[in-house]
Amino acid sequence: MKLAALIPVLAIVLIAGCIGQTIAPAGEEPIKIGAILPLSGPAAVWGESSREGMEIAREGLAAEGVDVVIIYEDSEANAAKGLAAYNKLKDLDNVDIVFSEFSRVSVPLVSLADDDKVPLIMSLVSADGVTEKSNYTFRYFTTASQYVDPHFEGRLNSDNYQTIGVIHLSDEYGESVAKWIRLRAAENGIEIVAEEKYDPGTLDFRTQLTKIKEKAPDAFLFVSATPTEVAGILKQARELQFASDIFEASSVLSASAARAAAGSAADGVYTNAYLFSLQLTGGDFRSAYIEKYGKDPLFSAGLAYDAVNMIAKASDGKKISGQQFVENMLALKTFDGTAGNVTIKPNREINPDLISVRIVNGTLVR
Amino acid sequence: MVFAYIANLLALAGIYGIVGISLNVAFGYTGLANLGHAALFGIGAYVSALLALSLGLPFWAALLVAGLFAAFIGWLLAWPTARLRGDYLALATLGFGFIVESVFKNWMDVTRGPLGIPGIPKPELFGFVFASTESYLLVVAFFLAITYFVVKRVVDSPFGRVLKAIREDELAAQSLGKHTHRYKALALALSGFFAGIAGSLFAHYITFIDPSSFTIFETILAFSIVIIGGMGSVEGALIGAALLTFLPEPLRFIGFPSAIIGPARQLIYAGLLIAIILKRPEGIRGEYAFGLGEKHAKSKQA
Amino acid sequence: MALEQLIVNGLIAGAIYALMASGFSLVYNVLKFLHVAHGAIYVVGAFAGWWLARVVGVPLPAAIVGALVLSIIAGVLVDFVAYRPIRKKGEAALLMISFGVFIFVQSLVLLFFGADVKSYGLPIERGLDVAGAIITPLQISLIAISLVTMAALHVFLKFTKAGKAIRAVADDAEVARVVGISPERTILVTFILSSLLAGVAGVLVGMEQNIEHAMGLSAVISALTAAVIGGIGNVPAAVPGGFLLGIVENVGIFWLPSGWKAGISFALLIIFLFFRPKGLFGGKTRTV
Repeated sequence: MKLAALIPVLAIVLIAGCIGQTIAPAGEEPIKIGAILPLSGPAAVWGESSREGMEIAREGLAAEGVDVVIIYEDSEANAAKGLAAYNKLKDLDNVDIVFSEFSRVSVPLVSLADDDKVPLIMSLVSADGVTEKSNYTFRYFTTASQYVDPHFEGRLNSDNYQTIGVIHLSDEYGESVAKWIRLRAAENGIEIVAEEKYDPGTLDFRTQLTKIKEKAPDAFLFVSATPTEVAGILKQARELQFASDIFEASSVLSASAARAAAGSAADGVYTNAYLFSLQLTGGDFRSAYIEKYGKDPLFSAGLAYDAVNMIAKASDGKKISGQQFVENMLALKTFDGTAGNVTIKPNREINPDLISVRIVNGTLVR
Repeated sequence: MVFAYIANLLALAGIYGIVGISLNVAFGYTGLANLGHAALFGIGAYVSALLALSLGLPFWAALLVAGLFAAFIGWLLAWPTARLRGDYLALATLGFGFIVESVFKNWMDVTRGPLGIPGIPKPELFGFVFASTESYLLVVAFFLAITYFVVKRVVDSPFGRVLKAIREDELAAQSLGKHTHRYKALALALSGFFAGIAGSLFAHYITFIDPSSFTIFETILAFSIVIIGGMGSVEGALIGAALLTFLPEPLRFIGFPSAIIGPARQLIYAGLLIAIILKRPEGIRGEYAFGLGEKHAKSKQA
Repeated sequence: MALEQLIVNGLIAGAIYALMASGFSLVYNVLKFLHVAHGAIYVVGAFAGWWLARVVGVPLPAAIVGALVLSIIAGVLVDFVAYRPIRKKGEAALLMISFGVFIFVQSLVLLFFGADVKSYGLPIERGLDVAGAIITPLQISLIAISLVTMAALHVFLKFTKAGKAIRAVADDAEVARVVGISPERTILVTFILSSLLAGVAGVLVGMEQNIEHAMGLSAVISALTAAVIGGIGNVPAAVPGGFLLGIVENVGIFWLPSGWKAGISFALLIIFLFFRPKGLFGGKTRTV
């Protein structure tokens, strides 16, 4: 295939695509959601899971006669790619609502969505204050302090814990949570004797773990983003014979796949669980997901599923203006989803609950 | 509507075009394989963003300082690598690139590490803010034009001829009395200057930067632009940038099942890259087949 | 106590770096370019082993052998499809196409296997106390296997006919051809060997740690760094290069914040390139 022949072919596809998108179909217009997810790279496990959850929601709504179209774009967890994706979804696909994941992709989109008056719903975003800059931004996820408080309020505030060691992922999520750990530790008079970090994609944590073990803290806290990281950290900590109590200041272990990967290393570890992970809520969704995909859903699938349903509900099942959508969302005040009954706050924060639990024989125990 | 989408792609293509031209100065003309080129791009981005945010410098000044600072780093890079040839130079610059990335990630006080720097302001001129994509495109076009003309003048000048001589056979150039180290330093400085400008344009366009935008993969992209467009060709760099920016886009319209969108597009993109290198390794507008900066004895090559 | 542990950690990491660096240097020795796609073969090895053992359900020893065979096939395929057609087109083209192949294979792995967490599922072992550091039997085996493999490689290169052919072609391909050695055949053997090494490394890491579709980049960067430290193109030197890198990386973090772990290996790379580009034991490049 000659290079010269390739260019016109691609150009034609591009132009055809552009034209095709701008010709609006006749008839009742469906609700169009643009989903900007991390579908490749180390974070792909979350993007994939979210997409799967959204598909189940879409199918469920279609069965009820509500027409929802979801167009997926890969952000590659990269800000520039996310921006390009947003532009394409907004200008070419004319989406009504944008759903985006990960702080570093979603934060730059806030001002754009605000200018365009397009509602932006974020999940898997823990950065502080993301909904402050725009009236069109909603966050449906836990904030960084929510990973820390359940442990400190119930367990770490006892006198048994005078010192803690911390290891966290070196990205905006890990840093945000680490900041709250420092804050809460200071408030409780607990000394952080070791603070280590690791890059995304790391498989060998032994160096950092050795440094923490050497200080022999009473408790060892870790902040991670993927099941692979959690399994690695716990296994290697066990091999090194950590004597400390182990706490996860994130929520990866609430997913059964993560616990399975960590195996016996997860026993006795404290983590944060969504009500969904405790199987207290979202049963219908869980069954539908297992039936379709043959595996247990991650909580991200449930949250993305909820997001689609929330969007459909606030849209009255049809295409409406951005402003109207925002008003409707706020008017809902609460929503029953896989994360239980959540409050839609006036500042457009929708924060699911997290509870501190302990892992016993692979199951979550309060 | 449609135009905003195209405008976004054109703006990015323009920025990458400047990156490609800047790399061409070092690699295409002088034969210096700077595998840390993304670091110069990133340094420009961070310097510009930080000056604009913490000192309130207007975009135009921040951009200029960013370019000069990146030029300075490029110039500095030349001295320790002066003695290194070929693969050694490539490896050293690779290491440099990774070290700079490490600095971006760890120097929390200045760069905020992985948290990145949000809220980078858009350019303003006499009260007009270049906020929309279409208006920003004008800014990019302006600097692209400057880059093109300046670099074109440089490479067509006697100075440029010396650079090419260095690429072809540095020892011969030295024997003719040229202080090749100085020329290499200037080449890297010039390369750094425009890479820094591109970085500034990038930062003020996306309005958010973090270390993950300036990795080896961005350097690979820059090299792909130069190689596909053709080594030693300024127009080639523009063609390469346009091609590589627009290339993945038609892939969006081919209806992949959503389950495989992410990896499938990367796969096709990488596949096309491989195919282009196989079919036309000298690039679209290239003049010759190339090594990594050192003339090698062809008979020894397996 | 922590220092001993860090040294042991360094040996474990170093064993893998040495394997990868050997394979990397071997290709560089013969073909004089940076075979970055080596990291992709490593990923193939890791995933192939996992797939055979956990999905197909083959017993572990057979899965390991299968993974090595698949790694060799992958490596030879890469050479045939991507490198062979452009052998004479220059190292920059080869390097870029190698990067292209790397990204291609990485995406292929993600496509086929998805992003869910994958584990070889080996039980957690009780570590043994050795001179104040804890090391598990599996980790000891890892180091041993790595050393044995590289010793075997050394014997092969030094004493067998194919090994000598490799050295001849590395020195001067045209002269080798004149004395009856087929450069293409020798290159095939080179890729078989280097892919085998990458496969072994991949499987070992998969068993001992975990697997991730993006694991190849840091592996090949470490391979490259270790190869430079030993002397690029100098295959036996890759062994001390790898172990040295592993130890410096791990022990260096004793004094520095752990965020700089990656930075240490690059700093080491640069120090060697500036002050001793030939590495500890002298490298072999095209340039004088």
